[in-house]
Amino acid sequence: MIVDKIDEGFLMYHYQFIHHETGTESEIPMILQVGNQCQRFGSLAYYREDSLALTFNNEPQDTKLLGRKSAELRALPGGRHGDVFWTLYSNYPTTKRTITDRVLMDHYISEEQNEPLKWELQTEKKLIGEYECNKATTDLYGRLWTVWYTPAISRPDGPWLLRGLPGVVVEAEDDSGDFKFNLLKIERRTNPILFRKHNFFKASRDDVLKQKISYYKNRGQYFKASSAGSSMQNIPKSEEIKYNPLRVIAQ
Amino acid sequence: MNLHCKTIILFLLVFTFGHVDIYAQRDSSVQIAGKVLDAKNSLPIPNVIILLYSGENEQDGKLIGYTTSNSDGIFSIETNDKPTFVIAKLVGYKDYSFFLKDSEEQITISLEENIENLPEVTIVAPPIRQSGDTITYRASTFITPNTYSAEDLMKRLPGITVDSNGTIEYLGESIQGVYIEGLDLVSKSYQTATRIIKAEDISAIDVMERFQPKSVLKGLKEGEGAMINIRLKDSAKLKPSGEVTIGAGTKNEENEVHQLGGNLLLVNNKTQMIGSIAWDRTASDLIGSHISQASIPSTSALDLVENRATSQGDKNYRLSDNLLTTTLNQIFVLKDNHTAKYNVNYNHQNFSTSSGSNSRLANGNSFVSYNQSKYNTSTTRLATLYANITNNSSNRYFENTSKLEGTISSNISDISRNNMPIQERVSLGEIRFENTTDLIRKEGSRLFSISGDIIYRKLPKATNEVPSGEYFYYQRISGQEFSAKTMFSYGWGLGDYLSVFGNIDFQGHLQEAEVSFENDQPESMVKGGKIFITTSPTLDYNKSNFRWKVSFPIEFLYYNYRYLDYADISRYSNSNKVRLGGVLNMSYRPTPQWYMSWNSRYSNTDNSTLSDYMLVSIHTSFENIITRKVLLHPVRKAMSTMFSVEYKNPIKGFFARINGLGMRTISNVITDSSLHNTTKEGNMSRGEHKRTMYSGQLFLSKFLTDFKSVISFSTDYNYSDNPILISGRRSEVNMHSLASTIELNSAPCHWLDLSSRISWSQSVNVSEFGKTKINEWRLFGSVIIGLGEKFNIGIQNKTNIVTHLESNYKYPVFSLLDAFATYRYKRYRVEVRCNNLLNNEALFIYRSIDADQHHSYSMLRPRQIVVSAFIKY
Repeated sequence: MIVDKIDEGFLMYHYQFIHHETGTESEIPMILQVGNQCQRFGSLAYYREDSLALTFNNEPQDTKLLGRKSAELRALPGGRHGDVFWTLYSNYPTTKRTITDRVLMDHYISEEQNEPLKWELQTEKKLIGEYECNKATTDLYGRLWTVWYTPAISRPDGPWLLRGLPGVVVEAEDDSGDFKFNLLKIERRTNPILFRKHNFFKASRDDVLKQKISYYKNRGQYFKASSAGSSMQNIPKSEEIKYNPLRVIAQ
Repeated sequence: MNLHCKTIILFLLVFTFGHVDIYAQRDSSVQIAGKVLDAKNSLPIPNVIILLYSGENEQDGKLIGYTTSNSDGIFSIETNDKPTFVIAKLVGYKDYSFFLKDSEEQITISLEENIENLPEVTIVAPPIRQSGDTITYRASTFITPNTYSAEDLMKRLPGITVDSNGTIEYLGESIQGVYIEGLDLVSKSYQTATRIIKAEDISAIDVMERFQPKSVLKGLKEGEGAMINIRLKDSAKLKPSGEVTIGAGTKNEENEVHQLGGNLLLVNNKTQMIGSIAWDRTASDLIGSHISQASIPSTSALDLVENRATSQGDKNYRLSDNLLTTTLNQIFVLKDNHTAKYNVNYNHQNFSTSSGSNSRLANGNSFVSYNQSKYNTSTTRLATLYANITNNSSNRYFENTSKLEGTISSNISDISRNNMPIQERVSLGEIRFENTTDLIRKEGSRLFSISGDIIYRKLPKATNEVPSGEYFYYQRISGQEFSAKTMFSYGWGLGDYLSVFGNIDFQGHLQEAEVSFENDQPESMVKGGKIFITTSPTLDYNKSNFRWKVSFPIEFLYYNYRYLDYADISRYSNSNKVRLGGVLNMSYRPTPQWYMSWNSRYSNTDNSTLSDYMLVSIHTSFENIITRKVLLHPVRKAMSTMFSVEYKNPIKGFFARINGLGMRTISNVITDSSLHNTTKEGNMSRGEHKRTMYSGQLFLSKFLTDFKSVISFSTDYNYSDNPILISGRRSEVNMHSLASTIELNSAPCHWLDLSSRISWSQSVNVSEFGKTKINEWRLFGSVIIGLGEKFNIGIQNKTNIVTHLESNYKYPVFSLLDAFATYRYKRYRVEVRCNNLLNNEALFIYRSIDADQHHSYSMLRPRQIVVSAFIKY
């Protein structure tokens, strides 16, 4: 596992991501790292694993040792990535964003323009914890999002693509209730923003999501079609999971 | 400034500066552009929030647009309205605001650094939040200046209740135990730890619902009850902390009382340690002064007599107290999920109580009355030694626990019954040892477990006697037993969620007991053993939100005992039996907020114990005798069903639970009670004994954020019917009781703490021998007022009001008033505490047992004033 340091982060946001992508409710701890040049948003599990690679000086290691250490990290509280294999790099490269993802054994990379969102600021307010928050809404990839941001913390940061408001996003939920982000805490400390290298397949984000749909439709069949599964016999047919992605695929 | 004025000013501004270059106007839209630089080094600052207002300032103006600077510090924005006022803000920099001028082509904003930045950690989450099955309470929201210990803190959390002994309940149900930083240092014996850990050192409290402590079973089997985890602040870890206490005072302005104590807490990544030592002659709750409970049950021989020698009771009713207690617990984290821990406890306590009663005992068609007063002196010594080693990984679980306990206790009661003096003495010594081993392995979808349990217990001697007088008796009991249990279980996964388990349990018991009376010759003895073999084929369905389990326990029992019959002739009893049962459990969790469960069970078990072979009359006390003349093999059939519905919305601080239980039991042994003077003899004979029981409980708890208050309500209903036989006369006793409690813990402002609890209960007891209806109010209130940062004063009151509704007799209302004042300075705290300020004498209670009625009182500890100093290190 090789990682590149792409920026120095100075803020770390801990978000809780609740989703129903694969039918049942999953709750995943997520980390938003903020640097002066770019931002990285992904699962806490991946953040820890990438930090581990840096701990080992980015040098090739015994895979058994790495595997064991990764398993130990997953056993820690919040160590699961629960099907959240994607990581979003905003403003990386400059003016663009990069999304890396994994479907079974294959790693994908997508690059798109990092267009700012068009937010509708509402007049409603509510108290979350000790912070007074304002409401804002936006239409994003087929879902209507309602977010609550606090002007008390003057940063335009937020989870996933939900950023660019005059305050930090504390809570965000889509209209179906299938997706929700909650901010838990903000840490002010320097930390390297890392980009994990793989032999990526370049594809548009929609194409990657289509791959995911076909994977969840029949995981056994998908596995058999892969290079690892082609030599295996008697792979059982697995139950179909209706994949409900965070981004609705454009028709 | 009114809207009209603003419009005119805006109009003038637009009219005057409409041609400026800084915004290019196309049609009706305006474009604003510029750059943000660091005033110190002129480097561009990205992510600066630029807010455009149409008014004169942030408060009066209307926000008409906003944007953020990019990684080169550049920003641009298009708005429909013309802005007049701009604010640029970013955490770490001072806010910068200015009016737009017409001379600038490009806005350049220089931001100055701000010394006030975000703190290292900013907690944004609400004070209570839920993550799966874990509810997390942020400690800082609930701590008040009078919250000293973890126990005080937990009293303030919605959904959690703590009683005066420090026993914690979550949603009205007992918890499994307490972890510290995820480690099982004290687990079930948590009362000392929750009093030692300081509230100010706690960052959060987690409640892990239906917690499964064995990682290998996570997702496969839900645990029974919730586990609480105390998370400490980083500053409280690594270095040892604790407190030393010294106190002295007077009791009833005549006798001197004192307390001395110290405790220690150490928490780091490698080890955790809690230790406490206390010598306490006061009635206050000194840290560590609770009595550690024996964790291995007593010998079956001791079950023959009522074990009054080790009973505790409320400290408020103790006329004198002398307690020496010490405990040391330590856990070591070894490599890869391995832990080792030990626990050493010693408790010596000596106390006296005084009580009395006016009783009516049912006797066939009449009642026998007596008046009694009793002065009791009790001494108990309990020593425990505990060692444990655990490997708790996700595919393997291994645990070995060894426990050794010893008890020595004695009790002397000086009684006056109908003016007749009686002295009764009870003394006993017992030693107990237990070793349990548990191994579970998971390989893919297969699960294999084996566990073993060995217990050896010995009761060299337990004597009960009234040395002289009309009630004279002398009785000596001794016994020992060895029991071993081995359980094997094997499970296979059948698809994604379904698994089937097969198990077989072997249990063997070797027991002996002997009873002798005044001539010290054995009057009754029994020696023998029994073997249980149980298997419970189980089908388990474990989806994360829906689980069910069907199981059919089959029990095979073989026993062989040698005993003396009622005529002292040696006999043998042996037999073997097979019995069947059934269990169905279901739980459904449609959303994280809701949880529903339903459990039903049918069991048909051989309930025989060693005492069933003791064919003799045994005194449990001078006023109670139990007689068995023939050998009875008690068998109990029980059918029960219970449901529970939980709802919680942690963000809104609301917790609710409703549960119900219905149970029907049929056993084949019934007791006929008859009176000899005022001594009651129960003759056990064969006869159908059917009992029905219903109960229900509702628990609601809400945190009112604005008032920093927790309000909890609970109500319990219980019904039971129970057949009784008194001097051959058979009757049903129907008992109903309804109890409701409302509790408020509030800290509306930083200098005021309020706490109140109002409980009302009504119990009705109806049989052919009469009817009693009792109303009882229990009131508790406490007010603590902070005088500046260092002083606190407070009072608390407990009042009981009991009314006997049938006779409309009201017991005297006596209440207990305590007052205290505290001075705190840095690590020091000095406290003056006054117990029973009004010097009230007694508290009245009413008890109804079967058809007997007892109007009782307990003398209160006289007024006591103690000054204590606490030094924290």
